[in-house]
Amino acid sequence: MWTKGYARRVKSTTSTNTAKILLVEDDMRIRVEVMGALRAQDFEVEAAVSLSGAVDALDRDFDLVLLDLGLPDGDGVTLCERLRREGRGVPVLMLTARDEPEDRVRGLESGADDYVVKPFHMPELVARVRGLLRRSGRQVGDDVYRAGDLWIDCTQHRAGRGDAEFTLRPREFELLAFLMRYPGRPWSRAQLLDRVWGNEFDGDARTVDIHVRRIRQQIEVDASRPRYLRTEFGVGYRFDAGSAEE
Amino acid sequence: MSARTGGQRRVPWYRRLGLRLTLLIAVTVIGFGRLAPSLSVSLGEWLGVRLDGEFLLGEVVDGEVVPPLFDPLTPETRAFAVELVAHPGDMELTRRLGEDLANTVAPGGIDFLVLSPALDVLAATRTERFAIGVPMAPDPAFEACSQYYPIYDEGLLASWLVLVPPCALDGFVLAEGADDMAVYEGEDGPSEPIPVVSEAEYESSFVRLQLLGTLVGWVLPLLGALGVGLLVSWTVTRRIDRLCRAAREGNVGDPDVFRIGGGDELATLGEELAGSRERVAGLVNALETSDERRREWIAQVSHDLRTPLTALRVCLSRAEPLVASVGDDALREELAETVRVATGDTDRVHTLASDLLEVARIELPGALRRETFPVEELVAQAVTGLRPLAEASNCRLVQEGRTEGTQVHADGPRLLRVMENVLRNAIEHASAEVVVAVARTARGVQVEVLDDGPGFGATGDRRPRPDSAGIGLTVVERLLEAHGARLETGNRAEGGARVAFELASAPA
Repeated sequence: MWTKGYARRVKSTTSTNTAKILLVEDDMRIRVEVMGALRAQDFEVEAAVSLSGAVDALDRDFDLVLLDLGLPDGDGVTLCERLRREGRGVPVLMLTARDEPEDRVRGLESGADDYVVKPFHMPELVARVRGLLRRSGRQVGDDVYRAGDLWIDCTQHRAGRGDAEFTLRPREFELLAFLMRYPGRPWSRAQLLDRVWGNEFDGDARTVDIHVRRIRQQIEVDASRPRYLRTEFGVGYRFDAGSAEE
Repeated sequence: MSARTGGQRRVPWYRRLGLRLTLLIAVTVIGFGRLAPSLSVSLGEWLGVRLDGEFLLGEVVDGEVVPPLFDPLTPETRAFAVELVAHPGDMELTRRLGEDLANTVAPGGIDFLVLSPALDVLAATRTERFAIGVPMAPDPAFEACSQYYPIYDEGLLASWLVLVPPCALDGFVLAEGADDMAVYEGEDGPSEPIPVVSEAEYESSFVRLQLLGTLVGWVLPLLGALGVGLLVSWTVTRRIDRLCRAAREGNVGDPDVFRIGGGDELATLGEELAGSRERVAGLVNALETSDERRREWIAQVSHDLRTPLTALRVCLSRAEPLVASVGDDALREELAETVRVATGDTDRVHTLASDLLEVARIELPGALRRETFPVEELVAQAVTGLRPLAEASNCRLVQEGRTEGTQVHADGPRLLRVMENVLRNAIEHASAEVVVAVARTARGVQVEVLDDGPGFGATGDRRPRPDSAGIGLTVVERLLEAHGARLETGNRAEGGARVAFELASAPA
């Protein structure tokens, strides 16, 4: 009876969902509640209580995996790594503890797409699931990306806000293009170094910070309070497409 | 991490030199004293052999070197010489002069005496080392006599005496413009031809003798002793240097760098150092193990605390719609209030638990993970995060001031916790407004949180709820300390509390 009310309340802002979600969580209460909340949103949810259970379940296809990092028979990170090694691109949303930003970095670098920090509010979790599903459905590889009034054209190597065009150095352009290609997704500095600079570069995290600072000075209205290129404290950076995306 | 300032201190060069010099001088002086006599003799002999016995050598008497060069003319001898001049050809006088000379020069027995006016003396004292020659002076009397038979010529006289090269032992005649060889008439008939040496030649050989004497007697032994001194001082200080370097650069886990071998006192010192380093390594190991255990314990406790709290919060959020469906208004209101209080308390317990764990964690080595970011971004994120709480408390939350993009190099999540704790504390005590002001300073940036509440009590402490409020600011203090910043707390003149801290800006 309560489920109906809860469902109705949240449902009013969403469209129908047919996505299949695998929830990997060992704590029974959280599992039950998260399943309830997601099912109320018309998601199809299956649950696994352990790493081995998740591995078995992942023989089937899912649209998203909700993965708790601390599992009784192992670390969620290993599952994530295994999925990516097998070339499976299913989006992974991690559930991590607030106190351990290094866990988030580890999770992201193992291939997770985003994370939610415990203890979370249910609406926040649902919103993250929704955002991740929306992003994963989109084709990556377009030449032009937009966020609010920001635009970037990878073919012509041009970027700007409205009619004003930025003058970005090549690496700054590549970094911005990469971040805009995956709006909303957090990246660790090591990931950005790896993806944008490539293997031959042996710089450190400060290199990323310096480039981000220069990009912010151009793309942000106020570089001191960035709206697009946000710091994920303790983790790295995330391109926030703003209200247009969320 | 790298607080090894003490370990990097180097010994000043002059002190290193001091030890080296002391050792060098000591060894050189001792070495010279010990070395010089025997060295000069053996070296001289060696050289002498090399030079075909041409030069006169010194002699060792009771461990002392008797210099090879000296004027043997004592006043008595001189008197004989003068008398001899007055009575040329007086063989008896010549013999006495020779004997007296021999006694004066080397009382222990003169090695070889050549007293040219009376070659008879020669037979008496021929040994190996000393030779006293009486060269022919360019005297009119000498000139008048036969240059070829100077020895037996009655006109000969000894005008001066010197030590001569041993070449003279083979007999020579010093004569200006003489032929190369001379033959003298002995009692047993004419002698074998002997080489004639010019005065200039004689002088030059004399100078060479002097030089060689100096060289062999002083310079070479000194150089030798200096060399040995250098070797000793270098050997000793090199090993001391090795110990210093090992102490300065060596890894704690590698005590073997101190084992320099040799079995002497330095080796013992090295062994002792190695032993103490082994003990330190043991202690470090134990500390690391205990840190590791603590880390694990904190992670475990953190997980164990958070999981039920998350579940509790999820349950409470499920209860909300349930409560809303209760028909009885009074009951619904009561239940809604209960759920609200429970939710607030759940959050508070979570914050408290996190704070406690944070205090335990911040003291672990390497706890801070720094990154570079604009201060305003962090402040804005904290303000955004606490806006719901401020709204629920009917409190206006305002962010003021500009830092023109000033960045800090700090642990983001921990500074976020600092901001959140300070803001939460301010919101809980404010009556209507909390202002967060940022401003640039010479060092970096100052963050100020001002509220319009009752302010801090006399003790600088405010704990309306003794269970939680105190630790929030304690954590803030600790986290700021870890960043090299200090928390300032005080009351505003216009009422309300002021909490501020200053962060250093990131190096450009």
